[in-house]
Amino acid sequence: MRGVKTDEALLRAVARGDRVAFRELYERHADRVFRFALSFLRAPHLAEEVLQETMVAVWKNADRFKGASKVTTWILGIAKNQGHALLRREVRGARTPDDPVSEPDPAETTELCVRVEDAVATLPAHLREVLHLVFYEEMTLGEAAAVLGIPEGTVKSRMFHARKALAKVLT
Amino acid sequence: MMTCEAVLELLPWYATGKLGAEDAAAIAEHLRGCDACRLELAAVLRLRHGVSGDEGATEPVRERVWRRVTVQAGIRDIAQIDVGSLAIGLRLGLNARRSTPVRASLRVMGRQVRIVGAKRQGAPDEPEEASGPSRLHPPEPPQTFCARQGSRRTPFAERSRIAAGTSRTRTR
Repeated sequence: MRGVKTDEALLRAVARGDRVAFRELYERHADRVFRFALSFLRAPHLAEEVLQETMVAVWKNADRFKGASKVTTWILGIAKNQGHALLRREVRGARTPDDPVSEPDPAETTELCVRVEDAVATLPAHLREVLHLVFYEEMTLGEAAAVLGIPEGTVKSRMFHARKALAKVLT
Repeated sequence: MMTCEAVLELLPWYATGKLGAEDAAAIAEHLRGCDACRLELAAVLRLRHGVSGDEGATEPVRERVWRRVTVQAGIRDIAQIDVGSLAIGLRLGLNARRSTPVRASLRVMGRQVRIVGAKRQGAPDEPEEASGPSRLHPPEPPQTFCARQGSRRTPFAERSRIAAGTSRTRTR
């Protein structure tokens, strides 16, 4: 039986044009990219758009991956750039979301989760994305800094400000 | 010994177990003697528990986006014509690639032989799912490039629509 391929092996195969490997890589990372985009965009249809643009970029640029970071970090870095570009277009008023952001169903989550989610939704996008990478993706300081393209000290200070802002909202 | 300020900065990574052994040990030692930082750790753990409530990419979402990815990346043809019979025939495909937007392959006894539009070096034969729409998931019409119907035109949607424009006439 063939063993499970590593992300790096899949990406090398994608760089050679292997569509089966691309599908496998997509299945492994689609949810991660979608959730990360959702953490700062707060609109599922925009997160879908980021997922689409990110994976197209992965297909086109797979041969540029040099192995300096994890594949996950590389892909989320692309997603961050795509998502921020989309945000800039949104800010310029090029488009507006069609539907209000879907609210979580309180019946399906604990009261704490709902309160925290509501509180997190009030934070600016650059703080939400840090919270997501650290608490949901459980990234190290260095990994989060690499994805966001900012120094580790900035990640720490953003995290600190996010917690401070949340403490105000949650108390 | 670590100061409270240094501990507070690193608590999120302490809570997720993503610190180096040295830092983690220093924080653990600090926490043993600092009530204020222990309270902060409890707050961080509650926060960590609460983050991640968003629903992820469900299977329908992943499938929908995958179809758009394959068209935009030029993997899936946006328009396809088949002539001939099951035993022998010709397939012409139009995709979104700039370099080779047209593909043609000869079908002989169920086997596809590419004659125009070479695949990348070393690439394996494409699976049926990647080369064309599956029976379970028929292709969406071009307007599905807009995230939601009725949305205002966007630069992205415009690009996608241009890329898929020809599929209005004939999409398999």
